[in-house]
Amino acid sequence: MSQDKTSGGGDEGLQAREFLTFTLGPEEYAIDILKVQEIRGYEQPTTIANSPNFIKGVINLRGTIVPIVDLRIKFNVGVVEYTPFTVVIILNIGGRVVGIVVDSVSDVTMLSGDQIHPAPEFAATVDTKYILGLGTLGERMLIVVDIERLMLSSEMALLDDAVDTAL
Amino acid sequence: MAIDMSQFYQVFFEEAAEHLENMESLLLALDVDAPDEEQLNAIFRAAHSIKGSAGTFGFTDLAEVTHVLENLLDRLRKGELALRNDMIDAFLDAGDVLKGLLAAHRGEGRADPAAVEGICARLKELTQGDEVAGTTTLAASAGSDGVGVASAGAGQGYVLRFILEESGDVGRIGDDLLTTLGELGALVAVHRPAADQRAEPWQIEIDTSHPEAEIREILEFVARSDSLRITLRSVPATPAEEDAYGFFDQEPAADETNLVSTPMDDAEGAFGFFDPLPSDAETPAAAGDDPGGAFGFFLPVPGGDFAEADPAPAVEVSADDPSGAFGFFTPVAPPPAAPSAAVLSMPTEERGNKRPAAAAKPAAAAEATIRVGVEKVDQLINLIGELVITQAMLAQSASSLDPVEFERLHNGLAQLERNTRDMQESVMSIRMMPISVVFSRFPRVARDISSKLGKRVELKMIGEHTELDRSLIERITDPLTHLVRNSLDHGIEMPEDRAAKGKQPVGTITLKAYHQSGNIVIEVSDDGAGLNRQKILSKAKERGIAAAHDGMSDHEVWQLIFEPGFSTADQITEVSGRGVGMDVVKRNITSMGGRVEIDSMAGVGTRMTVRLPLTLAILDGMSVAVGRETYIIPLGYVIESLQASRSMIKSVSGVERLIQVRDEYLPVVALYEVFGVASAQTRLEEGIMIVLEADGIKAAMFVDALVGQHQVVIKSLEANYRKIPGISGATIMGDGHVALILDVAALVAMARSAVPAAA
Repeated sequence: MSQDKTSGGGDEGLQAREFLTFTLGPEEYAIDILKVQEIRGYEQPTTIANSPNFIKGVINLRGTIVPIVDLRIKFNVGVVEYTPFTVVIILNIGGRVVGIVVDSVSDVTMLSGDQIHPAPEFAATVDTKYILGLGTLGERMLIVVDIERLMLSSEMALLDDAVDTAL
Repeated sequence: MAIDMSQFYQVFFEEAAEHLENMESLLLALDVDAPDEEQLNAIFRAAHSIKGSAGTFGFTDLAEVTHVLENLLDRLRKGELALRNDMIDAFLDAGDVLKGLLAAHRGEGRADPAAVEGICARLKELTQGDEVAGTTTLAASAGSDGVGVASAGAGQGYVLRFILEESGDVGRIGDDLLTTLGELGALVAVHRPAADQRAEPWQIEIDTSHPEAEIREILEFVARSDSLRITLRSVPATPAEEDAYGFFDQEPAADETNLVSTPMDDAEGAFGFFDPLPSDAETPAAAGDDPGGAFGFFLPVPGGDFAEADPAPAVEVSADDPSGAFGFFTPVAPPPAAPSAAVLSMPTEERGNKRPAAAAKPAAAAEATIRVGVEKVDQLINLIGELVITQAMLAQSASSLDPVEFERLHNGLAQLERNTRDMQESVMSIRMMPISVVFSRFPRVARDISSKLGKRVELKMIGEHTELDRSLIERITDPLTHLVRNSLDHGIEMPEDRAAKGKQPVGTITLKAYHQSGNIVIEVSDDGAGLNRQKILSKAKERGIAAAHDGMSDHEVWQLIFEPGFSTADQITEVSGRGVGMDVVKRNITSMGGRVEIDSMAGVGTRMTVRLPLTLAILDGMSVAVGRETYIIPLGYVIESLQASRSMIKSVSGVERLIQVRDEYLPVVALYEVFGVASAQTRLEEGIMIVLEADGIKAAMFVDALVGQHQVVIKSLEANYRKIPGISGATIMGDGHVALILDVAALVAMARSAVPAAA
């Protein structure tokens, strides 16, 4: 079920894949680890005028200008504060580099296709089309996010020509 | 064999294309009535180089066409034929055919055998043409029959047979050998045994101006000494290479003795003993190609004279001095190299030109330049950019240290700064190319279009050595071509009209390039009819362009021609008038960070001025502070900065929107407002006003403070983010933070549109 939504493509459905899990407030999220380039501490970005509030600005990542998105603001979870423990996950999505601000990074987990259950339709600040499913890991519930689709969507306003056609 | 050679094909294609371009620009620069002999020689050398390398690489069709071309050129440069316009046309067409053949070999498009045959026939016919009256006519064949048998015969064909030595890498040796021989002359036919057939003999037919001994020397290294046979080829394939003897029949005797006494490189030079001095042009070729020298003896010269004269010019000529032509009876004109060099400013072309005998010595010239992929240079530039940033970071960290205690560190850092700056400059200069690369195509454009339209035009080019970034060169070509075509079609009037207006019947189009305050400025001006204000306005109204009204300033009216689909041409011609173009021109130039301005006066002419940044990668900027943010303003836009006093600030309908600077009222762009910066200075008299000019519009930008002036490396925001209105890019400051670079033109335009809205 989940696999046909997976951006990575079809046949690894029953195979376990690795996910990076992180927290936003009390919630735990998981994203495909292959999209992650690196993890670093938060530094004050240069703000960009007239951009949505969840775009914190741009930073200098070894000579490359990288926009920073605060997922807590975007998903409207947790308390938005920047502490020495605030973490930025640098993603590399189709050659574009984007950083996302999260409260903390938990671990790297294997999830197989049958551990990911389809997400029921529910009203949330995040469109459910960006949620691949809900992963169960013992007591924990992981919200598996299709981070590529989310980041390239027009609602993230990261691209001039967002590929998202639904909006 | 094909596999072995194919790696060199690319080089050949590039070189041949360059030679063709070179040839074309030279042809266009030729004055038909009084052709510059040095230029004829340069054209000949270009053709010859193509022929030589085409032969080496086995592109026989190319070699054939250039061969015929060369024959005609050779007769021209010897003065045996007078240059005519139809010859230039034929040469240009031959150049096109060659380009087509090259493209076909590259796999882009197909060769047109009919065109090849056609042009060959045409060139041959021209070659057979009447000899110039008054030219001393010693048949060239006499020279080669009589003298050519001697070891140093010019333009001789040899058949080489040999078996390679048993040892070593046969494939590589074979390649090297072919390359070396290719440098000596044109390889007409090569029979090369397969690599595993060592005992098989090679057979190479070569046309060369070099003596047999030299070829033998080369071969002795690789061939089994007992197997080597060098024989004369029955028909020398390059009559073009034949000596340029223009002396009387009785002279060859003297010549022959000379040949015996002088080794190959001890050429006698060119002696111009009579007035028109055709031999002057021969000199560079004579130095390498033609050991016999080019003798333009008009008067029988006593042998003694000759002998005396010999040593001195030999020295001159071997020094590659084109002035090695001696006019004993009349003063010799200054060496013609200087004027022709103006046309040939691509480094490679210069290289080609400076060769005494272009075809003979590509190896020596190859040392002067290397071909490097653009991406490698770009990578280097990026790395230097990083280095500059790192250096700035270090400098900033060190600035807090005690200068006395850390004196050596500070000295070292100062040195580092100098070095990085120098390094940056020289790396940037790698990418710089002279604008002549672009300009060189315009003589052809002008010629073609003016003959099509029946107009007479002279094209002047000024400042073609001005350098700009390679990426800009590529992108400026089309817009400039369009501007030139426009000038030709709309600007310059028909000769009768011009005469009626009391102008010279020949119109002038001037292309001019120069540097001005960090920009490169390219002007395309004509002395034609000028833009017609009424016509443009009525067309604009017809097309319903809202802004068009009679009260517009000329400047605004001229800008209308950049509207999409705008054309005032009464009829659509083949050249222009479809109204596609000027908007594209403007868009292309704007996308490069440049702008176009138009000045025009009815009856006097039109001038289009294109301003471009020197490079796309580095920018001189002024950093300003607004609240806690830092922005970079490209320095090119900044006119002045000042602190506004209360009295200068004028309000319109209750909003402080204008400041008065001397006698001008300028709209104020408050950056804190545009970018919504919190905690910034909002009282206009307490911050700084920076007067900017973009697209001819002035505005004052209000910021908190000036921070400094830097050279910044432009980083793309769009690589990972999207375009932001009012921001053209980003850069990394000394402390590692990102600063945004303002898009001044857009901000000024914003101010302009915001002012009426507020008023």
